[in-house]
Amino acid sequence: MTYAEYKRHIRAILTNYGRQGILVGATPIKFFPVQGISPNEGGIVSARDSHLVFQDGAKLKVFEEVRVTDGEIHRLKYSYHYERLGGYFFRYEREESADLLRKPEYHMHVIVNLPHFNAPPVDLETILKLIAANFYLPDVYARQIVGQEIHLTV
Amino acid sequence: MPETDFYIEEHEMTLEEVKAILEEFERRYGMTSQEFYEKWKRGETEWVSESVEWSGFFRAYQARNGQNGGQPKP
Repeated sequence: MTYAEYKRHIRAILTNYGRQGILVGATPIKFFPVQGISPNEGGIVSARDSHLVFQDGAKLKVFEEVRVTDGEIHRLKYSYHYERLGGYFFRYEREESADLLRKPEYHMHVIVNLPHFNAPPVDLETILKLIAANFYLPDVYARQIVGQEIHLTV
Repeated sequence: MPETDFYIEEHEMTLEEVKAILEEFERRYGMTSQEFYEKWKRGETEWVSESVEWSGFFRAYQARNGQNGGQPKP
């Protein structure tokens, strides 16, 4: 896959969720070159101004630093931050770290910024599938999640 | 398929747009991007929920700004 094809891939994924009515409104995808990576081989992919907006007002903020090598897509850094109107959020990230116990390179946050929980590598497609399955499919599983109230102190 | 108002707005960001993003981070978290970056390297910004983006945009901005002959700031 080339970087141009990756951009088309991103567009196709988002369009699929837009057609289903899961994503709504303007979906801003922006690209910015990164030094050391040819503009044809990667750069920053970002959706952070008005975010990706879901049918219930929840938002997904996307940041990827991508490099294509030998046809393989490498997400050198990423952040996928999903947040619901009530304040519940989770965020999957890949970020360099000097303390791999407290902050694994691939990690996720849930509800608060700490701790960094170890997590598998993910991509935008996986994140959108996960979000759709847990919050937007009209089945018993999703109904057990949406509407839950959480009161907690860490 | 349901009727939706979904559409994609896609474009290449300019250096000025990235600078505006950095300034937004600086206002939100009360420090310059350079201060953030130094703290981020020391692992002192775990309370900043946008540290991946901020550090990524800052490095990209610095590199491009320097490359274009400007001062590597903000």
